[in-house]
Formats: sequence, C-alpha cells, structure tokens
Amino acid sequence: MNSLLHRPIALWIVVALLLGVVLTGQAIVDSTVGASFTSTGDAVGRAGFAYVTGLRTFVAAVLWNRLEPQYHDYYDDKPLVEQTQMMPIVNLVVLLDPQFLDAYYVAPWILARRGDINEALDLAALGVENNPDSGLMRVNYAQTLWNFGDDLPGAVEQAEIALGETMRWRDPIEQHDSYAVLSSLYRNAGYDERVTFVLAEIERLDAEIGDQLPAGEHDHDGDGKPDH
Amino acid sequence: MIRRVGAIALSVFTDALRRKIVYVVVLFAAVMAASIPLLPSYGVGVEGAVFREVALTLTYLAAVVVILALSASRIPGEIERRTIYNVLARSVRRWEYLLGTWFGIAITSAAVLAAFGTVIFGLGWALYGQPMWQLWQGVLAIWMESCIVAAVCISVSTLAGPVVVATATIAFLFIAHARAGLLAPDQLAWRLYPSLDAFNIINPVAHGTGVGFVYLLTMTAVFVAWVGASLLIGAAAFERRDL
Repeated sequence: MNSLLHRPIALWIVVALLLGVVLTGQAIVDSTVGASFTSTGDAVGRAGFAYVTGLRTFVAAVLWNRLEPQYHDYYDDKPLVEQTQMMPIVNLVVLLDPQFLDAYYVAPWILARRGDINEALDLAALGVENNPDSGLMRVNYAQTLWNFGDDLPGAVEQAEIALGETMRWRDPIEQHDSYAVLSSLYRNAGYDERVTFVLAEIERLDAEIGDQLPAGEHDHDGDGKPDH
Repeated sequence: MIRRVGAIALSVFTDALRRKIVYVVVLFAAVMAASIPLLPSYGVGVEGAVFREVALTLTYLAAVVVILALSASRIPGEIERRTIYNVLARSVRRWEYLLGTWFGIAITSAAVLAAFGTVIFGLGWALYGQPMWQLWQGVLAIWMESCIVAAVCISVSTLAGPVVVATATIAFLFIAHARAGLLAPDQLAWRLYPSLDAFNIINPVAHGTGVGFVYLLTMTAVFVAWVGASLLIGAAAFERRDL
C-alpha cells in the first residue's frame, strides 16, 4: 500500500479502474430501475415542502391579502384584464399553496383575455390537478375550456365531474354561482336534461342560501344588487 | 495492520457516541417521522407509500447531518490539537489512520441508522398494521451512501479545515445527485457521469417491493469502488502533507 501511495501513475490507474467499476455498476442499476427512478432532490423537496406547510400557506395568504385591496381599491378604475401587476404574485401564491383556490380562479381569465390561451388552460388544469375534489376548480377549468379553449366536449366532461357527489364546495354560494355557469354550458352544448337538473339544484340552493349574501357585496355596477 | 486500524476505529466510534449531536439528530428525526401522518399536503390521508418515502428522506437527511458533524472536524481537529502525533508515533501509517477513522465513522453511522431504522419500522408497523421490511433495504442504501460521503469528507479533511471540508462535501453531494437534472438518459455523458444514483432506491422501496439481489450486489460493488477511490486519493494527499 505504501508503495502504491508513492507512485502517482499507478495510483491514478487504480483510481481510474475504481471509477470504471462505479460507472459500470451505475449502468447496470440504470437498466434495472429504469423509468421508476426518482431524483433524491425531488424526494427531499417533497418532504420539505410538506413539513413547512404552516409557514408557506401563511405566506401565501399574506401575499393574496395584499392583492385584494390593490385590485378592488387602488386600481379600481382599471379593468381586471389590465391588472397584470398581480400575475407574479398569483404565481407565487400558487407555488406556495397549491390548495389556494382563488388564485386559479382569477389568473387564467386574465391570461386568456390577454391572448395567452395555452397558459390559461395550463393554470386552470393545474388547479384541478392540485385540487381534484374542488367543484370550483372543475367549473373554472370547464369555463376556460369552453370560453377560450374552444373545447366544449372537454368542458362538458369537467362539468359532469363538478356535479358529482364527492365534489367539495367552500359554501353554498360558491356552489350556486358555479351551477349557474354549468347551466349555461349545458344549454350551449344541447344537454337539456342536464340543464333542467342544474336549474333544479340552483333553486334548491337558493332556498338554502336565502339572504346570506350581504347587500352591496360584489356589486360592481352600483345598482344595489350583488352581480355574482 | 488490522489490529491498528481496528483500534483507531474503536476509538473513533466511542468518541462519536460521546457527542450529543448524534442523539439530538436521531431524536429530532424520530419526532418528525412520528408527525408524518399529520402532514396535510399529501392530499386525502397519508398512505403507507408516502410514509415510507418521507421516512427514508428523513433518514437520509439525518445520516448526512451526522456524517458531516463527525467527519468534517475529525482529522483537522486532531492535527490542530497535535493529538495525531501520539497515534502516528506508534508505527501507525498515515493511510491506516485514515482507514481506521473511516471505519469508526462507518460503524457509528451504522449504529445511528440501525436505531433510526428501528424507529421508522416500528412506527410504520404501528400506524399501518403491516411490517415494512423493504424499509431496511432503503436504510442499507442510505448507510452505503453516507459511508461514501464520509470517505470524501475524510479525504478532503486531510488538506483543509472543517468549513472547507463541509462545503466541499455538500458540493459533492449536490453534484453527485445532479445527473438527472443536467442530462438525459440517451446522452453519452449520462453513462460517463459518476453519480450516487445507484443508492437512490426510494421509488422501488416506497412504492414497490424493493430491489433484487443483483441490484444489491451491484450497489455494494459501486459502494466499495467509491470508498476505495476516495480514500486512496485522500491517503495519497495525506502522505504528502507536512504535519
């Protein structure tokens, strides 16, 4: 061993041979594991992301709360489609908290109205992927497919899922408003039976909601009645 | 030679057991493993596969922290305190000292990982009602990788201080796991990029039934080659160093 350590050429030959063993073994395990390989960094990232849930959802909520007064008050006279200053923050919110529904609801509309149809569809689809049981996300995706993606069959498919019993809604108002969108979609697609069903559900929800929606809430045209 | 290397290894092992960081890391990681079922961002409930993946990730991180804490300052500290002269004066060759140090750290890592492996195995059995034997394959792979990291750490520490050693080791870890991010499998460079991917069996262990005997054998050969190459380079550098 001592003689090897004092002979640089022999030493590097041995090191090269050992590295050859490393590469050969690596090639063998690559062919064995194949497509099921997962990067260590991905696994560590997923675990770390899960463990800092409280912190990252808090930061996402703070960022979103900063946006609300900006687009409702400060930029009140600016149409939503021109409020592109919020897009980087919306992206960050979605990154920090994939379960933050409102971000997926607003951003695709802005993107699509500005001509970025594919980005809008991707973001709406991401909302569904991260929140598969959210009725709002299904309706949002359906609406984006129908209005901007020119994909009525795809929109109907999402609508059918949105009407499922396992779908979750944050409150009956959200469900009510979403069903209104679905009734228009089904009417456009020619599914009269589904329109009848959805309208019956809307009436049921109307009775359930009653006067819960405060006066003046989301009254953008100033007529004293909520617009949505 | 074996007696000298063994004596140094035993000395390193007993010294490591006296250090609090080993127990703190294991305890902290055990608490985090116990909290896995409470994690919300994995969706509806936490399945056994997700438990195995997160548990192995925790094991990996705990091993890296322990190895860095034990290896980075071991030899530089011995040189600075001049206690290394007492050892080398007893006809212990420098490469034997290096090898013994590595063995001691490898044994310590095995003890730590065995303890942590027992914790996550027990937790998985208690929480999901089934013994997850394939977890031990993951623990073995992590032990092998941690020993490689220790070998690299010790080799670099023959020339530099603890801060440089820790930084270089973290850089090595990052580079050795960057193959999938930098290259595609159909590129020639993919086959020529020496990486630690052979020890990454998280997917087969967490989501499958583990890996086969041939894979384990190949993994062992790669482990021996990595350790051998790292310690050879370190020993050659240490031989030339003026203490």
